[in-house]
Formats: sequence, C-alpha cells, structure tokens
Amino acid sequence: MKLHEVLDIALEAGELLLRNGAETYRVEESITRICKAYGHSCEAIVLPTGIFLTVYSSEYGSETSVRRIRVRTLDLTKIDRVNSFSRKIASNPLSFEEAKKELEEIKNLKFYPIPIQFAASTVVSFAYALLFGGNTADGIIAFVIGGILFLMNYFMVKSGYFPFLIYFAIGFFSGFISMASEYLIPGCNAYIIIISSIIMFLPGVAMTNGIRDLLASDTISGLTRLGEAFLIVLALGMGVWISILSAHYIL
Amino acid sequence: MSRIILSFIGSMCPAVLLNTDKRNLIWAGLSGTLGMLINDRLLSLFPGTALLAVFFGTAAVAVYSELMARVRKTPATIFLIPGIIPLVPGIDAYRTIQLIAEKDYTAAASYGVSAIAKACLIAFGIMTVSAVFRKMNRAKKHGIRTMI
Repeated sequence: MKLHEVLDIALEAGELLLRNGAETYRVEESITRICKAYGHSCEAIVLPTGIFLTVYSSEYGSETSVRRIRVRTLDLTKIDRVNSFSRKIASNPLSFEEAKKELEEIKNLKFYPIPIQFAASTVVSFAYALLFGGNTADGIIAFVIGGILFLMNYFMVKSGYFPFLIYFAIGFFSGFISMASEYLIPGCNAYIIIISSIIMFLPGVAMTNGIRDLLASDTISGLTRLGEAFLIVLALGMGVWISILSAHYIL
Repeated sequence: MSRIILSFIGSMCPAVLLNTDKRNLIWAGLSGTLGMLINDRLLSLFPGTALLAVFFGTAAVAVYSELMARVRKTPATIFLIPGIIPLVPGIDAYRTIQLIAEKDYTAAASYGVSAIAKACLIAFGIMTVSAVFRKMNRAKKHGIRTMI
C-alpha cells in the first residue's frame, strides 16, 4: 500500500476518534496500530485541536500530514467502532478502498433520534433533583427545564452560535426560571433546580479527562481540556449569577 | 432503594445522550449504580471522608468497566464515562464560580479545592485500575503465570 494511503486512513481514524471525544493516548495508540499493520513505522503527536502524523518507510522515504480538529463531542459508539476497526486492521490489513468505506460508514452512524434524547435529558434532570434531596415539585420543574434546555442547546448548536454563548444562555435561562418558580411555588428550592437542570452541561467528565491526560503526561492536551472545562463552568456560572441578580431586581 | 433506581436512571440517561449502543445501555446504567452505592455506603460508614468515598467509588466503577469490557468486547470507556457521571465534581466547580460571584471567597476556595481534589482522585482511581488490568493483560499475552 502507498504511503499517502496509509497516512490518509490513519489520520481519518484518528480524526474520528478525537472528534468524538476519545482520550489522547487512545488516538495515538490506534494511529500507531494502523500504521504498523501496513508495515510502516510512524510518529504521531495528538493535541485536542489537531493531529500531526509522519509515516516512515524504507522504500518511499517519509510523508507528513496535519489534521485540524475544531468541534469535539462525546459519542461512545463511534469510539467503540473505530477502536474495533483498528484492531481488525492489525490482524487483517484491509485494502485502501475497503478501509476507507468502513471509516465512512462509521462516520455516518446516527445518534439516537431527537425525541429519545429529549426524553433522556428531561429524566436526567428529574432523577438528579431527587438525588440532591429535592421534593417532587423540584423534580417536576427540573424535568421541564431540562427538556427546554436540551431543545435550546440543540437549536443553538444547529444555527451555529459559538459554544460559550450557548452555555451562558443556558445558565441564564435555567437560573431565571428556577428563581421564578421559587417565587411562585412555595416549598421549591431554586438551588437544587438549577444544578439538576444544568447537570448535563457541567464539564465534570471533561475535568476528569483533563487530569487523566495530565497524569498520562499528555501535558498539552490535559491543560487544554482543563482550560476548556473551566471556561464552560465560568460561562454557565456567570449566566446563572446574572439571572439570579436580575430576578432579585424584578421579583 | 430509591437512590439505587435514581442513580441507575442518572447514569443510563446520560449514556443515551452520549450515544452508547443500545445493547450496552443497561450495563452502563448499572456501572453508575455501583459507584453511587459504594460511595454512599462509605460515606455513611466513615462520615467526613468524602474524598476517600469518591476514590473507592471510582475504583469500583473502573474494575466493573474493565471486566464488562472483556465480557462485552468493547472499550472500557463505554461503561466508565456513564459510571463516573454521578461522582464527577461538576457541581462543586459550578458552586465555586457561583460563590466567587457572590464574593464569598473562603467558601469558594474550599469548594474549588474539593472539586480539583475529587477530579484528581477520580483520575487516579481510573488510572490505577487500568494500569493493573493492562499489566495483567500483558502477562497473559506473554504466558507469564506468576502475575496474578
């Protein structure tokens, strides 16, 4: 197989992994595994914002390529599929067209349908409101807000606002409705409603992954992820804070 | 009992949002329940050791995920990430920012330190367990029987 074809497949697989939220070491491992399977040695640097890859071979010299990655989400199915794809290649090297086709297939895998995601996010907020010690009224309000926040996030991402504005708007909306319901419905706790409705947007997992990268001495990735998590919390917190202030002023 | 069901829902539904495969959903939910149960039990046995409880909760989730990864032939992450969602310090981080905005810097510092410590302990828990499992795997591959 030609050098640039190996490069193409390895980068494509790496991009799919990184774009869907795999850990840095997993991306590097998969890229190395794919290159090794085709009989080339390689050197890869993986950052959260891009992949640098050089493939060496004794006959053709070496070739380098860079991929820029802008948007990252979490999609566990795609990570799983690319992972098993790289293992399959290691035991049985596919031809370029076959490998390319398979990666394309993984790329086009669908998320769960929107109604199911919507239902899931409402139920998450309800469950956490009760877990944090709220009463049923808190749970029901969190249930409603969780659903609205999911739709807000979905449509704002679709129309291409930049992420921190979305988080700010989500925090603001959640805080405002919670304060209003605390004012209108007796026995509600605004604090519990706020944290349980924004729980899916809080970057707890991102923080943990950042520290994991730091511990695995992927220092730049770790710091980038931590910084991103900090900015997300900052945007959410400021949104909630401003809404609480304005709610105090209005109500 | 209600906490068991709630924590099951609380990690199965995020698993849906993270697009876990249908046949792994229930197992992902159970992983969250396990972490939460151990965390709760340790907290009620030794009150005031929240960090330790988080560490052992995570370690339990990580062991469960590594074992399930072998049973279900998927990477351990599929069960790990939904499993740590109930333990992860997102709320502490949010509370820190909130308290800074309210100018209560002492409480903010204590929440911030607790968030960082929890995140570190969760990462430590995961990495310790996965290092042990990797070692065992390698031992198995090379036919060394002296490793456990």
